[in-house]
Amino acid sequence: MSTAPEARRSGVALRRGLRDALWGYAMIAPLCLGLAALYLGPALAAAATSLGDAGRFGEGVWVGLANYRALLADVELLRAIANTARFVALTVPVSLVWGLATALLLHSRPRGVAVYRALYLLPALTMPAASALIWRWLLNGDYGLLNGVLGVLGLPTLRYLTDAEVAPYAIAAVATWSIVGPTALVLESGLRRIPRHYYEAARLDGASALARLRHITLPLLAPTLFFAAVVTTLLAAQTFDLVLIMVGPTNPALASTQTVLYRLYVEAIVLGRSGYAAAMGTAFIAMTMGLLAPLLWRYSRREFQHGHE
Amino acid sequence: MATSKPRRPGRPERTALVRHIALASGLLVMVGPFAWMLLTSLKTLGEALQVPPTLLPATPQWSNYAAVLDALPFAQLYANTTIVAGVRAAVQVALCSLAGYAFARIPFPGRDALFLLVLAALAIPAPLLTLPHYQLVGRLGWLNSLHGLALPGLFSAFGTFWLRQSFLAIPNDLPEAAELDGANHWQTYRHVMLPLVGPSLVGLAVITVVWSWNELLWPLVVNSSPDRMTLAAGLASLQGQHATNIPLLMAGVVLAVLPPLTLFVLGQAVLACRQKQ
Repeated sequence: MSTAPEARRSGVALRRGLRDALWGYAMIAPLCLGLAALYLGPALAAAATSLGDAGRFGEGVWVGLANYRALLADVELLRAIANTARFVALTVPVSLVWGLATALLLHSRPRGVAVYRALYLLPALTMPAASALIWRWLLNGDYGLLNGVLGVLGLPTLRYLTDAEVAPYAIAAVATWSIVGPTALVLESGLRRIPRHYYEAARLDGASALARLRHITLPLLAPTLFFAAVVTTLLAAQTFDLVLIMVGPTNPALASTQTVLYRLYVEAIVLGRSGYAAAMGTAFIAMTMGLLAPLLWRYSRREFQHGHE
Repeated sequence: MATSKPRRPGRPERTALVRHIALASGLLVMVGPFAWMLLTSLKTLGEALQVPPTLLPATPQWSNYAAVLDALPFAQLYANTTIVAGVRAAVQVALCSLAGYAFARIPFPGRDALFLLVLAALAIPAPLLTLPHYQLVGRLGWLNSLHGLALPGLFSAFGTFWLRQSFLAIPNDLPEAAELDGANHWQTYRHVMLPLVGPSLVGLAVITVVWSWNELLWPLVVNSSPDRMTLAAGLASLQGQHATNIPLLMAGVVLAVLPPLTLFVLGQAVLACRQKQ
């Protein structure tokens, strides 16, 4: 009663498992080793630094979790967290919706689509410092074009970058403006992978454009949309150069616009408090991964259960 | 996967027009600031500061551009930036597609945990990385070199994430058929799956080139000699010297933006031609 076929099957399964493992590790090895050396290594080093009170030159005494306790009491940091959260909430949904609309328009291959695509990428092709400079000039309270045009039309002008109430929205707008192009590019590459015959079958069945969007496009675009959402959120949460160049340290609107990474920059580079800055950075990574990991876990589970859907 | 759309009278033309209007309005917002920058670069300082703002310069001040070209060795800067960007794009496409495929389609032990670790790299704020990267490049003896400059950009969690999602979006039947035919993972990857994620590969290459082009902090830190500088670093020095000469700065920005944009448009045109054939 030897279960020869079963023994053979489990032997085959073992060999396949081994083969999968070998191939899997081999294929991810170059990338993972590189990431480990260049990203995870420094992150661990930062965590180590955060347990001391090192100054600009690295010398420090071990203080345990004192830096982390200080983080919780740092009023400016707490304000910066609120600013960053608001910034993300403003930038991500708008850029996703706008990016999706643009991707859909580009996907329909109108005449001159290559020109449209190139020009939509122009804000992203430009150096952030340059973009910030251009917008800082456009939004200038006294000489800027926007206020100039509004003034000529008799409409109220605002101090976009010096008014604490308005500045956060101005910066969110500029950030959205620069991220829409690549977002549309990524989403369009996702759209291109949806097989056309799904749409043709739906059209034959009489489905409207809106129904096609809801039942074919969005579900099949889901992996790409998820990717775009995650990356945009991470980028928005890490904004710092826009604030640095458009607002700057002497601006009264700084308190309502400075982001977490701006505080990190101040602590690490301006004030030279390496230990405290490392704690801030490590906490930032932990918080981000803490928010991201469950989301990814739940999403991957669904992927494995339903295969590709 | 090119198909032709069946023509129906009347509706396609109106829909196409609406689409063009929508795209063009978005385009105005995207491109408008650059048009303004171009105009500003051709004005005198006095004209640029006028209130209410003047639209066109009285006479185009090409001297602004001459001054910028005088101040920076643009040819060398373009060459450096292009080499670094190109190498990074090539390496990233290769490594991220390999790893992305494995994470998407090979069930190996610890895969999900490892992928989470890969993503963790995305959460690391840039200011924390600059000093460790500098120390690593220093220990390798690659300071002030193009390979030292390129190193941190060779490995991308972003690219891996993107390619993994792209591979996941491909229906299971294709790779499964390949496996039934006896293909091993490399063959499935190379001959079946990789061609199917073409748009994502191109997108990743483009984004990597753009990001390398614009990178500022790292090139400033790792290279001190002017003949190894990239474009962004060169422009930063321009900003340092001529902080209040707005038209001059704008001219510099125009010169910096023009090449990647031109190359990109040309690349798109070439792709479009090839697709039509």
